[in-house]
Amino acid sequence: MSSSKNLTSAALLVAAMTLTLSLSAGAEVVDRGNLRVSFTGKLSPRTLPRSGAAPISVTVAAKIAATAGAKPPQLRRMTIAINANGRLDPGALPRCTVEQIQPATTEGALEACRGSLVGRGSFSARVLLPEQTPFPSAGEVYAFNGTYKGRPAILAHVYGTEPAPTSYTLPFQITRGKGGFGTLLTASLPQVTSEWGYVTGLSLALAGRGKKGPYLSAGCPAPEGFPGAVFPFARSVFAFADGKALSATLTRSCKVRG
Amino acid sequence: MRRPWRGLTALPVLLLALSVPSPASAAFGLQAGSAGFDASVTEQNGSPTGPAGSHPFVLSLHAGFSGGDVRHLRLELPAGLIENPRAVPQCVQAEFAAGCSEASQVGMLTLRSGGAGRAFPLFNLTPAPGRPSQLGARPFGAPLTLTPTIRQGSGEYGITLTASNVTQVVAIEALDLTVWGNPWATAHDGQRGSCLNPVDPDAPLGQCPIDTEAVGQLPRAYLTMPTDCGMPLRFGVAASAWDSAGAPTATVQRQTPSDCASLPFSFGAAAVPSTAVASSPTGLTMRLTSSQAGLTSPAQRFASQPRRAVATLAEGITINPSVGAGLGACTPAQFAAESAASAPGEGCPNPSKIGVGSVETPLVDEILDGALFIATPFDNPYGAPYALYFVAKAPQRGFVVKVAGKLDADPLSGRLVATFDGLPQLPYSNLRLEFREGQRAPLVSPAACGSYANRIALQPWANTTAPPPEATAFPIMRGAGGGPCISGGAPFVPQAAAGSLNARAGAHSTFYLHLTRTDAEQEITSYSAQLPPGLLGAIAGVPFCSDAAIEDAKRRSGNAELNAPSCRAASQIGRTYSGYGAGLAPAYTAGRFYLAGPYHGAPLSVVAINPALVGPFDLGTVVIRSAIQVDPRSAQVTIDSSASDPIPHIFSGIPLRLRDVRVYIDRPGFMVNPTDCSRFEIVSTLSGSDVPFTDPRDVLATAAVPFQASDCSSLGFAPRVALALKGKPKRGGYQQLRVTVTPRAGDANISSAAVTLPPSIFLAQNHIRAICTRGQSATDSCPGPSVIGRAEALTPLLSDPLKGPVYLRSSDNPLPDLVTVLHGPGGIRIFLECRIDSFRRGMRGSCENLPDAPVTKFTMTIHGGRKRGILQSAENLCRTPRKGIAKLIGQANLGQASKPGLTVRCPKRKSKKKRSVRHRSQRRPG
Repeated sequence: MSSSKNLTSAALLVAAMTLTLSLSAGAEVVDRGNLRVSFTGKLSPRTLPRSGAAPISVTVAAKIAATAGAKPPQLRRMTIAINANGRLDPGALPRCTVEQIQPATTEGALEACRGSLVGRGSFSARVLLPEQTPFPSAGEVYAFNGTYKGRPAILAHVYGTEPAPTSYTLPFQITRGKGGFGTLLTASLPQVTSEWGYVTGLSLALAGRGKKGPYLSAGCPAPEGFPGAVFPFARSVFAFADGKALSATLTRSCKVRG
Repeated sequence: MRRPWRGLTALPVLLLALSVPSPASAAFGLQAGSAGFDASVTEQNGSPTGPAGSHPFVLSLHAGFSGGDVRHLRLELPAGLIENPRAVPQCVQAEFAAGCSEASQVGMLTLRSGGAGRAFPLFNLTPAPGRPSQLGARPFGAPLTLTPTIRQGSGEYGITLTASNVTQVVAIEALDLTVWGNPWATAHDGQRGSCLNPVDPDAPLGQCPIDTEAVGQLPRAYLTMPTDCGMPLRFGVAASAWDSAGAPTATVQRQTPSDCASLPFSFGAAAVPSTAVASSPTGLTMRLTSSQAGLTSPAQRFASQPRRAVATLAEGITINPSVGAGLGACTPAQFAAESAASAPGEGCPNPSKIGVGSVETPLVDEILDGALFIATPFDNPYGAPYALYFVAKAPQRGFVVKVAGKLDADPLSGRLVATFDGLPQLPYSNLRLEFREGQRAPLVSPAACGSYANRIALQPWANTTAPPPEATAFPIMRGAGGGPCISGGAPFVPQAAAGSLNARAGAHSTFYLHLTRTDAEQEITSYSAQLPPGLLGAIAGVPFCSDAAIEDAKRRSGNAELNAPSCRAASQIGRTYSGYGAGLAPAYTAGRFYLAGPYHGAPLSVVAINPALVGPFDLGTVVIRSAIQVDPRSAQVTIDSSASDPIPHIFSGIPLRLRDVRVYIDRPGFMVNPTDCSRFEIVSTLSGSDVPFTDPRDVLATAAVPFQASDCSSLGFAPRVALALKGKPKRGGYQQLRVTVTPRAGDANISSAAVTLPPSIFLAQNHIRAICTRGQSATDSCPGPSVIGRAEALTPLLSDPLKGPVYLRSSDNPLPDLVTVLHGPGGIRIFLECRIDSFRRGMRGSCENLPDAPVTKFTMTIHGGRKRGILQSAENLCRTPRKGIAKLIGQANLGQASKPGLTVRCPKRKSKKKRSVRHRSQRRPG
């Protein structure tokens, strides 16, 4: 009887997990007024040890848009909080500074801080100049383990040649969070986008491994007896110039290795 | 010394002579009071003759002398007192010696000497050639003649009788001249012929009537009273002696003619142009006709003569400036020199003649042929700008009529009013004035078909109420040039020709502009033109004619301007020739063309200063200042009529009828041809105005003339481009960029230029502090933070370099445009608009459609530095030499690409001493 109950419970749990997994594979979309923010992320590998940590890679991506063609407000600050089961170890890799990679082409940045490379991605923005049709600006992003203002940071180096060669580096300061999100990555944008730039998208795939170990590692927070777990993977907060702040939380799952 | 007496009268005269005291040594003079000079015009009863235009019984003149023997005697009769030599038969000279017929006797001459007097018959003699008439007597057998001349001053027309070299057969103490108003009146029978007892004056007079049947004429009046009731009769005498000094004169005034109100005044007047074609040169015939009844009828009064004739010509008849070509003028002295005997040209010069005329008078048996002359402007009896002299003469009769008239031209319409004041107070039956016809006729017919009327108003000498003006209607039946009449306004299709005399690309050449219109078209009132791109003027070294000088020119006479131009010669850039007037032969005036400064908001201007000298007429100085706009993007030159002076259609009352305008900008090295051999146009826009000219609605017409420079293939194109960075050469430094373009003299001008920086030079987006909007840019009010640099261009066209800021301005392209505003002298502004984009991963600035203008050197500097530098080096510039890419295309479609090296100031590594080295391009452009 009890075994059938257990089986039933397990079956329900698996079904629930399956349902959750199927839901969490999509993006988290948050609307407020004419503003829409979609936030998505990916954890790899999903099979992780129940105890201890294994190297992982994390991909997060955000898109900011305005509904009905309106001009979105300017993004001022972006915070990405990562589940406390994940660990980010800035000491695992050499640290790079903004001055080493800014300004620089991608090649130049890699030449200067190749050992600090912890990820790559893309960046897009719309540039709204007075009396001009907004035009998109895009560039590739290389993330380096570094410091910013004396604190650990992820330096997202963006380089593009259209419509003109330019680069900028977006420092995500790393701080310790509270509660279930143990790591906070916070970036302030005004100083890099000036008053003309409107961020429309950012994606970043973080990984990396140094001589001292992995840059990112995590375990699967599944209770004993469970093959996996569903957990709040990441939470993002977008603060805009008009005072709005939108947040979204991504739920992801993992399987217990072994 | 006395001459011997001759003939039968010798003895009594001798007795008289012996009784005369020896001449005293006192000065010759007139006796005191009426014994010296007296005169009267009286009726038979001795009362003064009153009614104007009537025929007095007798004219009496008395002169008494002292201190000498009279030699020359001049007796002035009152103005308007007519002595008609054709009223009675004339005694031929041959008969005069032997004895004239009684029918020719017109009075008596009485000489007094030694207290005794003796009368002699006075005859109407056949005048000698060159004399209008002559009176003569033979006192003591010696001829004494009195020759009349007509005093012309101020329309006086008084007769002066002159006796020259008076006989010395007797010492004349006094002289009495008695002229009969009606010589055949029976009241004079006792003083006629043999009835006049010269030996015994006191003997009873006999009866010696004229046998009028035998003579074949009715009694006719010889004298006629003036018809002016406003002036007393004034007599004068002047004499000189054979043997004494002194030239005494005396005058007396007698009654003023009366009863003018009842005096008839009957004249016909007409003024008819010689053409029925519109807007054409035309002559004009003016005619005054009158009945002369009453002049010779003793019982009738003679009608008043017109003192003043005022002809108001129809609206549209105006002075034709064409008349001015070769026209001279008659000075007052020359007019005064006109006499009955003067040959053509001895008085008024032949070039001043603008017409002919004639006068028919009953006083002489010939028609007086006349000529109409232009009087010297302002130096004439009226002090008027337009005045006329009419001189009619009969040389054989020594008869001359001289009249001055004036033409008043309405300053707005040019309508003419001809005034002849002081017309002869002499009888004439027909007075005709004909302004000449032909292409240089002095007048122009009205512009439109229709019926018109000239009006002539006459004012009589008698000061009676003037009759209403007489209108002479005349039609204009054909359009200008003899074509059909035009309805709905005159056409306006002016023709233009323009170009460079030497069309070679980039060459200096005289530029000419030629505008014409026909008589049938509307008047040109304004002109604007757009020159082709690249056809420019080199104003470097050419001083502007000052505003003060231009204003001064407007106030000056044409001659003053011609002889001492208001503007400095250094400001002159060309010449003008303007053809004025109707017909096939306009009159041309030469003017000067100057460069001037800003005008009505335009950075430059040109001013045409034309001394308006039309023949003898100095109408002043026509000053037309035209604003010159320089297109800020193409540097294309435009003559802007909206900011220019209008072209006057009338000046000093003369419609100019500007037909032909020729402008030659021929200052050496001034005009520069384009270096683009594309086909362009010189587009002229003219506005025309029809009658009435006060109508503000103008008609626009455009005339486009092809313009194409030639021989572009012979032009070279090898500009040099240099790129220099200044700033910390290490990565992250905000670099100052200096781009220098140095074209080669004589090459084609640059049409487009694109300079690409190496990929390692980034745009520091976050340093873009402000972007100028289009509106701000148009009003030159870009915010300071949008300025990112400065530029300077040296051009041989201007003395000073063009300088200005470089700023970012909103664009249709993704990135803002790089706009340079170059400011030149006088407010010239040139916009250089360049696109910013990327090329081969480097930042590129591309400037298209640059002005086709020669440039010696162009430098653009983009600010550097941490605060305002927008260019950032993404690598250490001293590590590896980098090159840019320069691609320039000339106006002649020649291109050049080069890779200029970036010049960077790098510290020398091995030395602590601050030095710099330069990375230079391995290969210099060009």
